[in-house]
Amino acid sequence: MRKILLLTVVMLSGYSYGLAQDRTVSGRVTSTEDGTPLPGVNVVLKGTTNGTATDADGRYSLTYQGQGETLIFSFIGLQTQEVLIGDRSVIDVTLALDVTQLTEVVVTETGYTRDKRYTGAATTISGNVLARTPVASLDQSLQGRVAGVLVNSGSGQPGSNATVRIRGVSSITGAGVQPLYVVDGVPVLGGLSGINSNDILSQTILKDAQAAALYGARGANGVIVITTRKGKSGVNSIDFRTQYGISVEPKFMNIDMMNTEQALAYEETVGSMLGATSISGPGWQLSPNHPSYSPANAATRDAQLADFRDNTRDYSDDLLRKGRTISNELVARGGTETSQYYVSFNAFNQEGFAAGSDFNRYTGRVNVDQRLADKFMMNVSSTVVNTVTNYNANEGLNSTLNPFQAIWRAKPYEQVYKGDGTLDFGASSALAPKVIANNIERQQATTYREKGIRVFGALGLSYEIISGLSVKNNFGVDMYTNELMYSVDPNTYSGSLQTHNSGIHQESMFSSSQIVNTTSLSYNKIFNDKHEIDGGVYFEALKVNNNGFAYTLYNLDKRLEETGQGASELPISSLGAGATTYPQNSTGAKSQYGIVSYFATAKYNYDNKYTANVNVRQDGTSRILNEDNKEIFTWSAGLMWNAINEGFMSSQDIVSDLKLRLTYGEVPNIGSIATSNYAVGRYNVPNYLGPQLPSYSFPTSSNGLPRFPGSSISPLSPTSPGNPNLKIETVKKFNVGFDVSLWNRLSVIMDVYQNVTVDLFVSQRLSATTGFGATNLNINAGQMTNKGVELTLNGDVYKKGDFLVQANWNHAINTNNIDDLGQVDEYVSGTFIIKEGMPYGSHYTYDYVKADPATGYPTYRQNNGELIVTNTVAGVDQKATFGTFLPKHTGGFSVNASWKGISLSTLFSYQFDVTRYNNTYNWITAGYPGYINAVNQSTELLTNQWMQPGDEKYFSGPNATRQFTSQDVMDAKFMRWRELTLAYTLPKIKGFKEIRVYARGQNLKIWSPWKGLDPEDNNNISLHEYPNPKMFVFGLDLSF
Amino acid sequence: MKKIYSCLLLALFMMWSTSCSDYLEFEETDLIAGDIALQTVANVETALMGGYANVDNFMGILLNSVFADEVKTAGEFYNASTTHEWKYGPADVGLRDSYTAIDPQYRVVDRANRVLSRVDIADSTRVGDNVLRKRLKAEALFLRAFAHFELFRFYGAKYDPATLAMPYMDFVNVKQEPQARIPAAEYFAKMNQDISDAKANLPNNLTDINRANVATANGLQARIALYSEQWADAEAYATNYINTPGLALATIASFPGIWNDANTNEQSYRMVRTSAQTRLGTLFRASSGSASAPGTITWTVSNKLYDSYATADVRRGAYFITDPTLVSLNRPNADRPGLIINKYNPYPTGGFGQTSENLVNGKMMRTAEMYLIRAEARAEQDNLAGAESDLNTLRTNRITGYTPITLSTKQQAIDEILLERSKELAFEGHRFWDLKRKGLPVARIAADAPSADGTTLPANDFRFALPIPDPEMKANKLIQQNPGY
Repeated sequence: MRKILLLTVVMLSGYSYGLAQDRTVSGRVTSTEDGTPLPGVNVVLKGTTNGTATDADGRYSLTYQGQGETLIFSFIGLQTQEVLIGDRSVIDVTLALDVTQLTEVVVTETGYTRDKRYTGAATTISGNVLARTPVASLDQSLQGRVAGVLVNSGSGQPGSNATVRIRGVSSITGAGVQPLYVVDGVPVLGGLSGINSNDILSQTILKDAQAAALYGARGANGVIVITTRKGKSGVNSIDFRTQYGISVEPKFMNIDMMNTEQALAYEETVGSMLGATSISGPGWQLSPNHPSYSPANAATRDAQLADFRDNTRDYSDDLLRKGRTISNELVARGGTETSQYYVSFNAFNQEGFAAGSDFNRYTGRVNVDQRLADKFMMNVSSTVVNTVTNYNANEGLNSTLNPFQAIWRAKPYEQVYKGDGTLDFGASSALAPKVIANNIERQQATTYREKGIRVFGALGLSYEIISGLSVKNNFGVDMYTNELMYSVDPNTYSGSLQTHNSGIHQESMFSSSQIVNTTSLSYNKIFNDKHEIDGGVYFEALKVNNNGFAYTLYNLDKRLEETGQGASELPISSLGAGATTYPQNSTGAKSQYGIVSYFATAKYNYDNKYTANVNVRQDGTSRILNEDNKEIFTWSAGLMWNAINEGFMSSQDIVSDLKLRLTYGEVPNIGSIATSNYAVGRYNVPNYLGPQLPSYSFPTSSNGLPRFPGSSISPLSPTSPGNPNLKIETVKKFNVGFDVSLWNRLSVIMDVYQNVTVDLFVSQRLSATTGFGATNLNINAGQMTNKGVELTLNGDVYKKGDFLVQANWNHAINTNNIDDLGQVDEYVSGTFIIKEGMPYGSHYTYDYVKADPATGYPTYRQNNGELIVTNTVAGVDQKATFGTFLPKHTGGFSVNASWKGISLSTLFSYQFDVTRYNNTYNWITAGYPGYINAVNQSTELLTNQWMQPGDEKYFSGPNATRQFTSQDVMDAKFMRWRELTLAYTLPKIKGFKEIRVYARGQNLKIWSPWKGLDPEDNNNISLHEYPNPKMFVFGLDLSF
Repeated sequence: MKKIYSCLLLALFMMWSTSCSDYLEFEETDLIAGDIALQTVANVETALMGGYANVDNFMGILLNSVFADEVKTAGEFYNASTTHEWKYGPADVGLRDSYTAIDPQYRVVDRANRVLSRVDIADSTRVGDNVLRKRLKAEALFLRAFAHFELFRFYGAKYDPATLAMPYMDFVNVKQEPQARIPAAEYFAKMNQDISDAKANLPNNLTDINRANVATANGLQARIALYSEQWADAEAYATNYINTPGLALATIASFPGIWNDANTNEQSYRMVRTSAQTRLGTLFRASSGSASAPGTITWTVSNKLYDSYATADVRRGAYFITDPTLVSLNRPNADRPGLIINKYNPYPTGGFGQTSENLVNGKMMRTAEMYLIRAEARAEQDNLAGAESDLNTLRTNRITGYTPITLSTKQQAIDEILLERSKELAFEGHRFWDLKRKGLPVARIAADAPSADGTTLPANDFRFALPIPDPEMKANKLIQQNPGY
């Protein structure tokens, strides 16, 4: 495959300049890999525009003036080489492959270079930029790196994948669909946490319609192309890398929770205001001002209250810890003329800062490139990954058992440990609160562990039939099996709280596999040194299989842990009175789909000035039921003007590169097709065709279906009509961009795009004649537009001697608009509204103003501007003026400074024009008995809550009900100091090729008006998620 | 060598392109949906029960009471000015929620069509399935005709062969394609065809009156003939119903038992209600918190209707009650304290706050209606003696000491029959349709009218045909709105 690519891309080139001549240098350029001649390689005299290109035999000849000049040999996908001419007139060079993807983008050490001929919008990040990141999932390290790529982590649990959105959300039903990841030419099933980031040579993000030419309907949300490292012939080396670090929790921002003294006093204040039973906490119930306080109970109560006053723990010491990260890696690489290898083994162990959470991963990779015979190449890329993830017992749950809720929710005066030092767990009440102790006990009693095995492999075979015509076959397999165990020890307090009072043991298994095979024929030719054509036809077939099962056991044997062995029968009484059937405690499901694709690419280049290309693709898929819509057609076309190569540009030396690019394409989005799930324990097995098929259900007591008392036969009712007309959404993508380089020192890349989604799935009412008159169905009836601008600046800010400072800044603006919703103008979806003329994800809620000075009740602003005072929200207008949870502005900037062996690099990322619901804030500023009794409150209430008539305060009084309103929609903009690395490469020591030591900080600081733990999340609402940790690591790299 | 490699790669290609030919046809193997859901005759029967479960006469009963002259506001709760005073349009939410037939009736049609789409090919897995298959098909055809007739009554104008009925759905609209309304002549022909196709395989007995039988089919045919003014047919089908063993007219003695479910006299088809369903009686008054706190009375009988019954009329006591508790509370807030509709309350067990309050079965078709249909058909065919006989038979079985009358003109016969329909079939979902059918106005007396605007709906006013609701207009591009809206 590599060779084919090489030939494919190589054919595209060819300049010829005819300048005045003094001296001539000539030679032959061959491939390092297999010694074959490389046609079309650019050969340019450094610092000039004088250059040529190699012919079909790899030969070149260049005439020039002057002495001591340097030649630059460069080509897309090959490592650029500079050679001093000196007195030589014949210079032969070999060029090594740099990146082997069809994307044709140049990769350099610092990152952000763009291909010379790619007409589309793409950015490549060198693997060196991503290496040594102490985060398991590579996608997280993209944050702030690439313009237009929004990366948000939804959980700080080690090993979790981030949510990546490229150029916004282009679908309502498919809003959460992730980009397609392609590793070594093979699309992969899911996230990237299984890939060792040090194995990566480059990562390229394809953002526009061109991506779809090669990846089809799965590429509509963008494509991230990953190429792994290869061996090099003649250079055998062994690398050992080790890393050690710690993770710590971020601190609450802009929020000050009440301490023991404040909480007790606040309880007393509110209690004395609202009456004897209003507040159940000790601050009021044990207060001398409480109506039931009497000389008889005074001594006991005073003593009890004094005990509470003494409890002033910092619960983060109880619930959280410093998590350790250890990574060790061994890499061997090298090869001969005919055979190159890259073998790596990595062990990565990371503890989260929440007790019980960790991630352990072992990855092995073997990449082999073998010349089987003349012109017949084999390329193998393979990985085996084993992961063991331990989750905190209640990660993500809305429960006091979730440490990220307990930590702010628990009253500050809890006694966590008894006098003898043991945990004080058990039934919790207002006067004996045990939230923290119960949380710890649950964690200790529970095992929540996921084990995964993943195998990924790609085998490429290619053969050059005649010069310029190659046939190639690429076969890929990606399969994984995950097992999730949730087990509560029967011999614990938590175990006694489970159904049947003796623990629970649940195991869920999910496995998925994908096989894909691509066969292609490609042709390349240069005519008259100026006309280059390049084309290919491809046939691809892909199949995905899923399978899952799960079982649950109760009534476990108290002598054993983490097993179902010895579990007793379930008592008959558990069936309930009159029951005649036994429920099933195990389940399973399977599903599959296939895609068969034909596609073709063609490109024409004239004199390295003008490039035009067109791609067409036909995908057929079992994912669509309607026979007429099963076949999906995709096309894209691009134009590029390489203005720098025009004659009129040769007389200046300011602009060193100037290109204009234009692409348009119509890309279907397979992610927009709604799927459903079979719930299988703690996993979901996808159900691909369910939403398209008519489905039926027997009514149960609660689902509202009509029952038929006129017969003993249960009435089967259709519950969904299915959507037999379903067709795929299509995104019409337009991109125009330019690349400018000045003085070979500053480069500017700018892209402007418009993506219009047509046949958008929107919720529509069906005609009664379908039998589903009152039912809504997602129908292809709407339209949505994303428009945006992306800007990337790269520059060598300072360059003198060995001292080099480089800086990069990227910024992207994306605006989303819902243009058309078919029958309707708007509909509410969860906490936001889907409305014509507004962006996707617009929050929809009541406009809270302040507390009414007279009554303490909430004051809201109506749509007509009038203020309304009410303790309920009935009759209050909802508005959509509070922004969206998808940021309009995203970006990042980085600086790299190096001097001899020392380098210092840093990265900041930011997002703004974004708002999110803050559920935590709603709870801690609720300020009325229901919440005061259950949740510790913010000190904001002490100064800004209505307490008596006449108070001009923001928060409604304890007598009022705090609703979920615009108070809780909060600015979630932030700037994060992602990274700071200080590295030192030691001077050459005998026996070592290189020794490098470094220290790195991750997520060092965050600046944000957000109130809470972490403004960053991957959805619209903040609900006690695991925040992103701060990390500090130290590393040593040895190369032999 | 070249050839070998080329051949090798070509072979790989061939292998793949053939082995993946089924990649486009993967099915959802683990889901009970689509055709699999109705695989066996037993499955099809459950689906037919799903159709019956959706049959409901609530909206028809309330509409005919509220839109016509059967009820008046009880002064306790009145938010029905749009409907009671005929101010409705296609966008009215109240109309859509309380008086729409389009969603529920087409739902019945769809359930029936789903049965019909599978019943012939469903697997027979039990002894008797092939006999059952015919019956299920017949019942589904009946349900389809029955629901379509309701749709016509709601949205059709007075019958004329050319007037627009509704779309006749005789297939499952799987593709969710828009459907146009068709002329009444064609629509009625399809209904009649469905019933006649059904009749041969419906049970010709009253063993299970929760499901359709031959008598029900006759009754529906009689109604259809009445509405389309096919008088000979109406007479013939009504006669078939009347002559069905077990469907003799209830007597004065047995008549009250129909209404508290003591007997099932006259009924060929009923709608069983349990406490899990909406209670019929709540159409007119809410269920009570306790014996001393009667629920809100939304509607009470109009003076016009109440005063039309003779004191010796058994219907007066069976349909109404002057309740002493209410009298003591001076409720309802109207000119006749204590007087409420009691037709759908199982008297005397269903007292205020009792578990059976307002809970009775729906009477979908009764022999008395067939007598009235036949009387009208005979009168229209100038058989005044026949009409007179039917009318007198009915009245003799309702009014103690009734003296038979003589019908001397056709107009007199029609007037008497319509009056008797209003009395016998009150609150059974006929009155407003009868006025439309006969081209008569809704004429309330001053004591019953909620307002000056709410006194009279002129004869043949466009509002006699309900508007097609807005959501349907948007979702179905071919459907035509009724004139006037």
